[in-house]
Amino acid sequence: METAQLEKQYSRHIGRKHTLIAILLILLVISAIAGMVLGSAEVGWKAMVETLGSQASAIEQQIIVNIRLPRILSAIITGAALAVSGAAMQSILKNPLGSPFTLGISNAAAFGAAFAVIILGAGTTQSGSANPVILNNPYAVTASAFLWSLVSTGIIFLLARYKGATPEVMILTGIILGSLFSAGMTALQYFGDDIEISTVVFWTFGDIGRASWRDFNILLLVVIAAMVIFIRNRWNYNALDAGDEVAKSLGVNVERTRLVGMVTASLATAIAVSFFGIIAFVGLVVPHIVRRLIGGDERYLIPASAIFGGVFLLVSDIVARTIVAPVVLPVGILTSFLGAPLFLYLLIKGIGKGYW
Amino acid sequence: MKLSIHNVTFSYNGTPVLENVTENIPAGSFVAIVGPNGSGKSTLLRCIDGILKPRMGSVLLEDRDVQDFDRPHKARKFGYVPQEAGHTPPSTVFDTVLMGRKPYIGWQVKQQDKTITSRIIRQLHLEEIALRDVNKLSGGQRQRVFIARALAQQPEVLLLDEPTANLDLRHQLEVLQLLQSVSQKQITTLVAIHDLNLAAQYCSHFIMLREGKIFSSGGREILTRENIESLYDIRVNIFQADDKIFFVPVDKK
Repeated sequence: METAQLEKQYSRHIGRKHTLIAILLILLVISAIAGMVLGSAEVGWKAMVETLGSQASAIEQQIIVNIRLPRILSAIITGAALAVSGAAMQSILKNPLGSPFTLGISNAAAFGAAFAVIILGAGTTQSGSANPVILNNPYAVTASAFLWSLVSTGIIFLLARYKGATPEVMILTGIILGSLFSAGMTALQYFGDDIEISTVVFWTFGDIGRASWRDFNILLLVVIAAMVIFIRNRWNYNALDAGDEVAKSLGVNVERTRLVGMVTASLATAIAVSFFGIIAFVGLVVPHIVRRLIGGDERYLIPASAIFGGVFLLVSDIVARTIVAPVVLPVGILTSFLGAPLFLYLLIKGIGKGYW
Repeated sequence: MKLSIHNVTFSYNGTPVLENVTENIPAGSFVAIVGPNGSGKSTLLRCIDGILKPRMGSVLLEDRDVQDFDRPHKARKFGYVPQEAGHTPPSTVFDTVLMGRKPYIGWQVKQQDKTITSRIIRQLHLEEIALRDVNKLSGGQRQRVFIARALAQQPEVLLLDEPTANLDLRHQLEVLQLLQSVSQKQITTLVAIHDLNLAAQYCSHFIMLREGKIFSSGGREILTRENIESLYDIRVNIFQADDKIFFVPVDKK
């Protein structure tokens, strides 16, 4: 086979990956449109189109612009953040079971957020409202969530670094950390009044319904920054996948790549959790599904995970909003019901075979 | 390319693994590092590649300390093939070899990187399996792919840890013939290897390590019964045929 022919073959192979990413993007747009139309309140296609042309009735405009649109965008951004963090963690820790939730980082961030609201007074709680918590200082809440998530991240990181922990040991540690921070949340509830209790419960739910245009900027900014860092490091993650020694011999600063990646993943997780609570399994399941579709190459895995993470959470949220309408379920419940069996499947299939 | 190891000392958690290893390696030579298990062969390779930093001493390439090279620069000079890769996420042969271009790649893969990758894939006869998952290949094929990745770095020094372990006889020969031809292209090649007979057939220079120290080094002339017997603490028989030497271990000492 000629060299040129080989390159052509490879280009076709890469072309298929680009096509897949394009298909995922189209899926994302379709889900977003569906998200605007579907819901408890009947808002038809006509109203949606009219809203875009500012001709719809005030109520329909209100529903689409101030309720559904922020919710849709938040679901996309949060899903992307969680999925891409999971993909990066799996590569960085060489642990196919790694994700913000399974490593206890989501729980730590939720505790941090609750801690900021109840102990540091960064949120105002009001009873009787559909939305009992208003974060009057989202920066403090996110910062606290981030700092506490670093505790979990640090422990997992050190364990991987100095004890060469196996995937199973890391997950067990994640479970231990998860229950520790759940206990912390329970303790906060014990000392809180009834409104504060309902506040803490909110973080254990995982609900995109709290999205509003306020604070949207900080969410978007952090997630985009994280995305840029992950994409910049795609070749480094590819090298890490080949093994530490190979990565070092290829000129990768292994320690720094790991540290930057883990801190970035924690930050992305912390911001998602402090706004919307614990949304389990998205970070674990999405990268695995995407790996099946597009292969393990981080150049494609990272952007594809981000897009599919957005689709996954958005569709889950649409289902959660409509399945028992007019009751709107928190999406976290749905992702757990979907994610837990998949997690179990991965575990059974993977033990002793390397999971990938 | 002049490669010299100067007084390299290394220890893991206080246990010395290499002590004052000094050796000049002729450019373009095919070097076998031999010695018993735990004698420091793999550690020496890793110190040369800069994966491990010697506690004392230095590795000099053209009289410059390897530890002073910036990372991509070092990666363009030294290629390394580890002993076993273990489970890795799925990756095609082409992508794995392309990975060797990492030290040259900025934001995007350039056409040149793809051309070099294709050329090396062809040289190593991997074109028929170029789009298959590396994890699904046989041991011999995988080893060739990993050598191809190291060659894609276009290194001046190639380091391999037990490249023939887990290979059948035919693939052992194939890999060593490949490495011999690589060294003939002026790429200094060092292998840590257990099979003395293969080493004796293909390599031009030998470093014998025992308990982290150089026991003996030089050309084929150092492959004597006395040296082998005291290096491994065994008794051996030596046979010679067609200008080749063969060692048959007979008993422990």
